Amino acid sequence: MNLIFKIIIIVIFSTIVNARNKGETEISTENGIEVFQNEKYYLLKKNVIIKSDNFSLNADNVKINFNKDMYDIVEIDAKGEVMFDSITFNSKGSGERLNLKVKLEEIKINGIDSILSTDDVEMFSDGYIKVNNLNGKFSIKGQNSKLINEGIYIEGETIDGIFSNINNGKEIKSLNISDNSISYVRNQDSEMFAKKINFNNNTSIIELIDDVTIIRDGEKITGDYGTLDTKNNSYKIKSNNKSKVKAIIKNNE
Amino acid sequence: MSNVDIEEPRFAINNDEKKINIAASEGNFLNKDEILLRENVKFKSNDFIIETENVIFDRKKETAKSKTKSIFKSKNTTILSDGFNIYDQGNKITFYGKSFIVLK
Repeated sequence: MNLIFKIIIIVIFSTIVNARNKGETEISTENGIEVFQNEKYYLLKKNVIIKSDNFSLNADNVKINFNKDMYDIVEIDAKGEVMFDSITFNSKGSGERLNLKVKLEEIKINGIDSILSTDDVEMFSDGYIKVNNLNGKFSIKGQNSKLINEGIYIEGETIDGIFSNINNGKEIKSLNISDNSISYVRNQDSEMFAKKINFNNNTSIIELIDDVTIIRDGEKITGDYGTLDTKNNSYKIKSNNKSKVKAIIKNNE
Repeated sequence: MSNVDIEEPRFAINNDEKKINIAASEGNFLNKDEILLRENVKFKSNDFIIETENVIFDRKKETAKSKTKSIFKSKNTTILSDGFNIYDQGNKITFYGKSFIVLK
């Protein structure tokens, strides 16, 4: 009887360990699992690997909050050398810590060298990157925060915005960039510097506030406030002191 | 003469929310409170079943520890481990060693 039981356990172990069926989520850990049934969470310890049809994750340690039963996952909190790839979110990334709110479709990556990328957009930060897949809102905060999207390069301590989904890709609907030292935006023909830079896709206007500099075609214009119309490629710069708008025009000949 | 102290032992862990019934083929007293349960050891509650070979059950503390390969099954969930520890009146379960979870 004991031998039969041993054989059954070994067969079940080898079957489960070797094959994940479609629709199943497989999780492996090197140092065990702690289940807190009343508190509705479990801890996965050391070299955690999660694999499902639409999601994969590697991390040192993971906490999973569940609703009623263990399979009904509400939130994943992963720490230590986190790497993930999500087909549902159309994104992948890495960082020191990842928090995924499953039903809210909100993903947040924290820590030095955080990266989150989709087919169209790459985001980087040493603080955090947060994206909500349902409403398109995103936020990048901290040192070395950057966003790169189809020829546009953005740097700033805080980059907030909204994506909209178009043709299986992501388009930036609005952007608010701020940095106590200076924010920076570069598109195909201009470089822009200001403490605050705002963009609205409906009006196609980039608004630059405080310590403004626009560099284009060898011209460098500085002032206190500026707007750049991306539709007709024109720009205006104003100064609080009317005599202070400064233009440096390079002779390229 | 059999070395077995209890044949077909049956115990339970009770808490406010659930009862976990414990069954095995054989049991031997290690001391006043601890019993070594052997062969076809099963923990069964309304929510889950755990099966393994050997378990030390402490009937005073209502804890159970196993260092043999174990299978936990609940709704759409299977956990395989190298043993487990049930404590806090069955509220908390630690699965030891290299472990696998399959969620359906």
